[in-house]
Amino acid sequence: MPVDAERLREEIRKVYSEVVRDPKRGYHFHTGPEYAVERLGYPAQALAELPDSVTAPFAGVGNPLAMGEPRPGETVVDIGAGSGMDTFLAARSVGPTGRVIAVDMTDAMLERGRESATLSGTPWVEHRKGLAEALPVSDGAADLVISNGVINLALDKDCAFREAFRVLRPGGRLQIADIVVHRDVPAAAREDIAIWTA
Amino acid sequence: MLAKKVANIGFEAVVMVDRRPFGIDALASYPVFPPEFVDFLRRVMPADRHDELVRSVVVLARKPEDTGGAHAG
Repeated sequence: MPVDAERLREEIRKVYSEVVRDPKRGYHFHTGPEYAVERLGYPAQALAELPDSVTAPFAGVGNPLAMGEPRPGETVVDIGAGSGMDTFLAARSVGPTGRVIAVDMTDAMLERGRESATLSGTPWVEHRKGLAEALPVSDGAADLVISNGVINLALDKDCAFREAFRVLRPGGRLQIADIVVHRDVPAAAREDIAIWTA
Repeated sequence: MLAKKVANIGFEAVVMVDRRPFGIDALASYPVFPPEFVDFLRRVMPADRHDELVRSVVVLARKPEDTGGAHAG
């Protein structure tokens, strides 16, 4: 199964653009605030305070903020922010003296995110187009880098982690939720998994 | 493997927390795994393992205060 990087990226863009356009259509993957609360342990009250346009398309795999929220005044970079559920939860924590930079490669997600920032009155959320492997963020700008179910979609995961390292200030934190394959997968299957997840 | 990759970049205090089992159905939910690959997994994996093929994890790490010697990559 050869991987065509650009084709894969385009497929990912297509799927997630569709999610943001029509989040309640019924996908073969989990989306929405109920899933986030029941399966991933997000705080229901906090999600209820966010616009539906932010929570409905959510398709993360964990809760990167559960192990520590950003502090007021901090700068957070959200890699592959999507509709921005983690972005806006972080924005609530950092407040107007902080900043959240939401990076996504999908125009539809960025457009929706900007609308949501206006709707939610959080002008300290800034949306930028970019890839996990080439973050549009200057060196050492971030106190915290988060991502949710995105690194497994990056075609060069080492590069994505190097970028996270670059944009963090010394002492800055990385908090990422993602999926990993179990160790005891049969060798034949593991080789194929490696093609897709290496 | 994920935590090791993070550590290899130069991060410190790398810990993997909040492990939740995801089955093949969940794996199928991501566009990087096409239907033919998911079907392949269903065939080669024992049925009793289908519900715990992958895990959702949260990885925490910190960039060292002194990055003079530690650099990305």
